[in-house]
Amino acid sequence: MPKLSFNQVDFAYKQNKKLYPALHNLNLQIQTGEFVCVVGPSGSGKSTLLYLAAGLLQPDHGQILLDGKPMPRPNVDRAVVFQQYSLFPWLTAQENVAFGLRQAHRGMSKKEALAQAASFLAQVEMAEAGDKYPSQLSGGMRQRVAIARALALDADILLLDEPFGALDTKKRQNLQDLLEKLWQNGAKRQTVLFITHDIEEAALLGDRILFLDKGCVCQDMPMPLPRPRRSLASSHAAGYMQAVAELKALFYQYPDQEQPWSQEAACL
Amino acid sequence: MRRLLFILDHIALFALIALLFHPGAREVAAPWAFLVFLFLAELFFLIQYRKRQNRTAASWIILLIWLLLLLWECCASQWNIAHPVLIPSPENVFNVFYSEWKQLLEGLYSSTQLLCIGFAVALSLGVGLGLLTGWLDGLRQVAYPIAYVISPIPPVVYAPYLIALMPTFRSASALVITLGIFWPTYLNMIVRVQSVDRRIIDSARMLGVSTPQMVGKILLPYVLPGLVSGLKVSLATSIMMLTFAEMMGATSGVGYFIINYTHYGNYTNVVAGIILVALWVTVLNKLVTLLEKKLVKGGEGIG
Repeated sequence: MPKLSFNQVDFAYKQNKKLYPALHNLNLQIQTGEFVCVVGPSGSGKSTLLYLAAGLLQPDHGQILLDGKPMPRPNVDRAVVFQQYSLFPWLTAQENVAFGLRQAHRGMSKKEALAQAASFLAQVEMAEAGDKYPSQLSGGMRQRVAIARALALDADILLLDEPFGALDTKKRQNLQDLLEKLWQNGAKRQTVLFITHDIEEAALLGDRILFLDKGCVCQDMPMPLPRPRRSLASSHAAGYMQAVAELKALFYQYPDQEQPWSQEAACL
Repeated sequence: MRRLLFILDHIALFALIALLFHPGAREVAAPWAFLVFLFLAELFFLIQYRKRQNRTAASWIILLIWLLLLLWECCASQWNIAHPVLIPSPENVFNVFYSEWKQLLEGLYSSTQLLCIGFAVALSLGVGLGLLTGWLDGLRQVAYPIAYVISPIPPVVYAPYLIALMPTFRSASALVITLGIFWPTYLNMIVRVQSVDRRIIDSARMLGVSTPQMVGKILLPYVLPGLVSGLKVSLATSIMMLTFAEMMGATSGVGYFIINYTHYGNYTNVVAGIILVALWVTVLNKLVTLLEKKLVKGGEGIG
C-alpha cells in the first residue's frame, strides 16, 4: 500500500469569483521511505501539491489517501519545511525546536524538550546558536533550525517546499548534503516530498523525480543512482549527467505557465 | 561645537540660578523648590549626556529648556511684564509642589489607579476578543462591521452621558477610558491577525496547535511587538480620556486639581498641575518603553 496517494485530484484557487486551476486530474503514488522530488515550470502546481499533501488545502475533486485512509487534518505526523520565514520569530532556535517536540509529545516537560532540542540542533550543526532568535540568524541557519524542528517531530512524512531556494550555492550544497545524510541515517526511513525548481538538486536528492506541468504529472523518472551523489555531480559521472540533461530538456519542452492554462497537459 | 553647547548650557543654568537670588519687580515665594527642580533636571541631563550617543541633541534640548525658563523668570519675576495672574512666577509654580504636595500626590494616586483599571480592562478585552475575532472567520464577519460602525464615535461625545448613567463617578471614568482604548485595540488586533504571515500560521497548523494555542501561543506573541509599540498612543489617548472625565465631575485626580483651581482662578496651581501631568506622562511612557524591551523578543516578522 502506498504511503501517500493522489487519485484524480483537482484543485483550483478562487479569487474574485474566478477559478484559477492549480491541479488537474493528478494521479500519484508515493511509497513508504521514498525520496520524491517534484520539479516543473512556474505555475505548474508544485507547491499546491505539497499543501494538499500536508492537509493545509482540501481537493475540490478526487481523493488523497494517507496509509490508505482519507487525509486527516494537518498534524505532527507530517512535518513541513517552507522556503523561509516558517520559524516563530519570538522564540529562540532551541525554543522553536522544543515547541515542535512538545506538540509531538504531549506531556513532555519544557526542560526535557529544551534538552532534546539541543541535540537536534547539534545534528544540524547549530549547537552554538540555540539561544539566538531567528532574526539573528542567516537564511541558511534558519533553514537548519527549520529542518531540526521538522526532524524533532519524528514524522512519517517530510514535506519540503523549495527549502533551499533562497540560499546561495555554497549554503545550498551544504544543506542538501546534510538533509541527505540525516534522511539516510535516521532511525526510521521517512517518506520525503521535496519541491524544487532546481534540476540538479532534484537529480542529487531524489529516488524519483516527478515532472509537473499544468497541474498534473507529465513525467515520472526513477533515479537509481547510488548515494551520496555529490561525488557523481562533481566528477560529471555519465549516469548523473544524462539524468540532468533529460530533465533540462523537459524544462525547455514545458515553458512557465500563465494562469489560466490555455490547453491541458499530457498527463500520465 | 558639542563642547561649546555644553558650556552654553551651563552659562544659561548659572544665569538662571543667579536671577533667582536677584530681587525682581514681582514679590515671589522662596526659590528652593524651583532650585530642586533645576538640580534634578541638570542631574538627568548629565546622566543622559554620559550614556547617550547623541550628546548634541541632549545639549540642545537642555539649552532650550533653560532659555525657556530664563524667559519665564525674566518676564514674570524680574521685570513683571507678564500678566500677574495668568503667568505666575516659576518660583511660585514650583513652590506648589512643596506646599500642596499631599493634594498633588493624592490626585496622582487616584488618577493612576483609575488609569490602570481602565487600561488593564481595555487591553485584556481588546486583545483577547480582537485575536479571537480575527482568527474565527464566522465571528469576524458578524463582529467587524458592528465594530467598524461603533468605534469611530469619539468617547468624549458620550462621556457626559456615561457619567450620568453610571452609579459612581469612578466607574464612569473607568468606563470612558476602557471604551477609549478598547475599540482601537480590538480593531487593530483583528487587522493584525489578518496580516500574520501565512507561513507562520501554516507552520503552527502543521504542529497541530488547537484554537486556544493558536490564539495564546502563536497570534499573541506574533502581534505583541505591534501591540506594545501602539501602547504609547493608547496611553496618550487614555490620559486624555481620564483628564477629560475628571474635569467633568470628579472630586479627586490630577484633572480635577487643574479644573478646580481654574474655577478659582488660581493659575499658579493650574500651571503646577499641568507640569505634573507632563512629568507623569513622561514617567508612564518610560515605563511602557521598559515593558517593550522586556516583552518584545526576537523582533517582528522575521522567522
